[in-house]
Amino acid sequence: MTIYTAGKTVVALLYPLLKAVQVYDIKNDVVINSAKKFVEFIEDLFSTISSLEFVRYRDYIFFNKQRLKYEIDSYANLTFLNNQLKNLRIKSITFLPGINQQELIDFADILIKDKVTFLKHFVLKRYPHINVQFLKAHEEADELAENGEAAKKTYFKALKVTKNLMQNLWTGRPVDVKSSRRIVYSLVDSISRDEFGILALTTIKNFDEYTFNHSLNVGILALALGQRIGLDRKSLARLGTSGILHDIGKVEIPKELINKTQKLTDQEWETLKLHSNFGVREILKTRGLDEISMVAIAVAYQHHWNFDGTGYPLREKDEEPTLFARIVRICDSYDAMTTARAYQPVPYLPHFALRVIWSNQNRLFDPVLSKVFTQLLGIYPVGSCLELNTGEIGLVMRQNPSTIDLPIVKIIVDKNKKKVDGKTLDLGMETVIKIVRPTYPQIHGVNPAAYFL
Amino acid sequence: MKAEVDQIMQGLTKAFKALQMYGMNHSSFRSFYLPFCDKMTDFLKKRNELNLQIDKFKILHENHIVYEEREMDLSIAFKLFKDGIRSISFIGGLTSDELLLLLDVISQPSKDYDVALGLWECNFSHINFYVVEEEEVVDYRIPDAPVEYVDYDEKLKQLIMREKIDIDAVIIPDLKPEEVKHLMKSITDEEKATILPLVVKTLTDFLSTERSQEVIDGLIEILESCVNTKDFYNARRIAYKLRDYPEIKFIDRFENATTIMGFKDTLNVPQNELFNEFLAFIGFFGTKSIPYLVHLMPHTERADRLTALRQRIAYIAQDDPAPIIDFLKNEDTQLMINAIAIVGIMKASKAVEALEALIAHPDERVRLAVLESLGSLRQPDLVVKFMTDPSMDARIKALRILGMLKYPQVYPVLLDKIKHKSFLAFDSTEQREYFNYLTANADSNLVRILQNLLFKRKWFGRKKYRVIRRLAAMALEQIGSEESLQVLRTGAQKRNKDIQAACEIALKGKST
Repeated sequence: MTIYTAGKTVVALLYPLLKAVQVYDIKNDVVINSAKKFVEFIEDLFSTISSLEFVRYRDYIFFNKQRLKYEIDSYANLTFLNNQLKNLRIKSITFLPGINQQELIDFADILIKDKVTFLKHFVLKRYPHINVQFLKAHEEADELAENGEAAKKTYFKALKVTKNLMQNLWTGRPVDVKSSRRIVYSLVDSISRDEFGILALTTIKNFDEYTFNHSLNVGILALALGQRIGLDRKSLARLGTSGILHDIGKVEIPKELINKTQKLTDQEWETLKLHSNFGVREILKTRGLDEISMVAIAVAYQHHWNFDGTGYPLREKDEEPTLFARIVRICDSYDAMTTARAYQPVPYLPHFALRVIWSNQNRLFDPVLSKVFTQLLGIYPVGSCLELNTGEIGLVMRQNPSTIDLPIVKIIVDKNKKKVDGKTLDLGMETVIKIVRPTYPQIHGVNPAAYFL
Repeated sequence: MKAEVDQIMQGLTKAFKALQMYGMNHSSFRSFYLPFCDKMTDFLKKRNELNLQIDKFKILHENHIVYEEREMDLSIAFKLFKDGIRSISFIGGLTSDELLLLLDVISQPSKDYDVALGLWECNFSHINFYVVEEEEVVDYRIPDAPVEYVDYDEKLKQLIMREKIDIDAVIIPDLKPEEVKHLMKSITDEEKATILPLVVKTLTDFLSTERSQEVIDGLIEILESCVNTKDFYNARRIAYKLRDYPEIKFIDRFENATTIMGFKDTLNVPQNELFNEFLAFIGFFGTKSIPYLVHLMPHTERADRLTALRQRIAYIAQDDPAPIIDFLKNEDTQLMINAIAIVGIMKASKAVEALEALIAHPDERVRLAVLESLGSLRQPDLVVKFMTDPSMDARIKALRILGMLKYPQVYPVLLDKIKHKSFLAFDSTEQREYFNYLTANADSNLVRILQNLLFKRKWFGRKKYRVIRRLAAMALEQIGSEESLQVLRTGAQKRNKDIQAACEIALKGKST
């Protein structure tokens, strides 16, 4: 067994144990059995490896110096472990030979607690076969500041690059290809450092310049979905570029048609549909034919192909959209639904846009990717406003990796309908506070995007 | 620790210089690189991480300068700094391959090369770097939302109705194991799949709806790349589409000696599919390419492929055989033979005169090729001239061709030859071919003639004549008429053992 597989398996065995101690008493059979499986497995490993070390470095988990990749079958386990270590400010955990079930269960029990409780218990009780190293204060501060600030910088820089790219195409000026290539890699970095940090910024919508923000948002959503399914960085760069460029053909469509508020005539609709074709030409114009642009060409052409074979442009019976085009198909629809536009002044609430995607899987959208997309955004995606049973309004700040219908919210409107800078609640941990329904932020006079800057 | 980092940086500097001077495969580079790699991995084993900050001409570790070089072309710091790299971290587990890749990227000589992009594309697992964009001032303003009165609750109700959203439906997005498996397969397929066929398909589909110079240029660019990489499958698909635009001379760029002679290796590849795709692709070539294609032909090792190539060139030259006919006077026998074969395949009547001039060519291979082509051109008057060719193979071939062409004019001549005593000195294969010809051109008198040959009394040279009897008997059997079979039956009753045997063998052949 390779170090990588061993690490993946250890995390896969640790995850159910941590979940079990979260729900059951530590004497419960479920907990004991999970711990037993874990100990049995690592005892075998100790015959070839002297210690098992997990290091968390910038949202990556390393097992005995091998980076564990976020793959579709390990995503939940790794995310959970990463979040726990991040919350507890733990830099590394090392398991040593001799560890027994009881020591492991005791440790697992405190590992799911908050930072203060963890520290108190960790210091009080001895864990002879478990070493823990904590982040130094400056490392922690650097990481938090770097992630949040970097995400914002990257988003706005990317927006600027996208805007320049499209405006230059509109006006026939030369395009800065190098910047657009670089910015995609910055987005890949950003998404791998802090998925929710940059995802939250996709709540920034622009009514007047819809296409720019939409293109970037689709790129970011696609990257996040791509990361969830375990694409490597190179593939992510291709996917991100494809997402950003998917609608580039719209630069050839008359602006008055794109901004038309009334229902389009059949002829106008046919013209608008040509943007998939035009996208091919525009990408060729801007980027030539490097490897990334070839992928983007296919995505621009296919991003309105439905899963059931319908959609446009017409295709042959046996032709299927590429994986990337299927990803962009979902992200494009989601962002389009949740954005106010000339012909859709009231957007869909994110929760309902997600339900539309859910109910159209197999027909319009790839069913497996629709599921992963739902896992990614949660039932109430980041930026959703939720009416709580306390009469307060909570803004979804992050997903809870373990409970996708109970996100982490920040109270932004109190029960007296007054805007407040309220506390942040993990609804997964709350027993009294419940979600009543999602609500339009406009009703409460708030713009969700403002809370993420 | 500073001393260790200093050593690592010295090692890096030396390895970097050696790489620039000697390249990666040189032993001098390895002699600098390996100690550097060892020092780095030793350090990471002990400390797990090495963080370096990048300044314009300096590299710092924990605020100490550990590297400084102010010469832009030589400075590792500057190479990283100019493309926005502000810090770089090495993490435990770092492999030698990763270090080599890093060195390879930072030693790229081109000024336009973006080191940050290069590093990103390396997809390192144990090297992290932080990149800043040139422009740090960004506008964080959130765009204003349109202000108008909307009854949002009502809008929401309409939306739910319109989209038929089941607001109570339970969403459980857990993936089943088979779905995970399917997804992983899709990812692997996507990563493995070459994007080129898809792009070619997309671009050609595009052209089906609209003419676009950008798309045409893009296709030509891909076409060139396909030809360079011998991807004739996609090259053919592109050429097929571009043919719709006769004003675009897309194939001209390939009709030159360098490109065409570059196809040499393709002629002998083991995969038939690739060779066939190549043949299909050159079908788009024009007359201009013919001289080069003819020169390419002798490199073909397999006979079946040579034939296929000749046929393809004949197809290309069909409207104008002149360039091929020119080769009938070429001094290179091999080129000449191929050209002769091609004019035959083309049935190029304009070539007859030039072929006639070669009937007496001293090289037997040339004469045989000429004979074959004259046959294809249905020129029995010229074929018959080969009846006196010094080569038996040529004479036999001529007989066969004449047989196929049904050329009765030569019939009495051949009959006389058979009757003449010199015929007995011919090789048996040639003798058989004479009789085959006779049978193929049989007339009502033939049975009688054969009967006479079969039953002829011979006092002298009986043994030699035995062959004639057998051939005559077989010819009668081939004619297969009641009359000819009756002759054989009669012969089988004869007391002459030679006649009897020849007839019995022939009748036996008939019965089997």
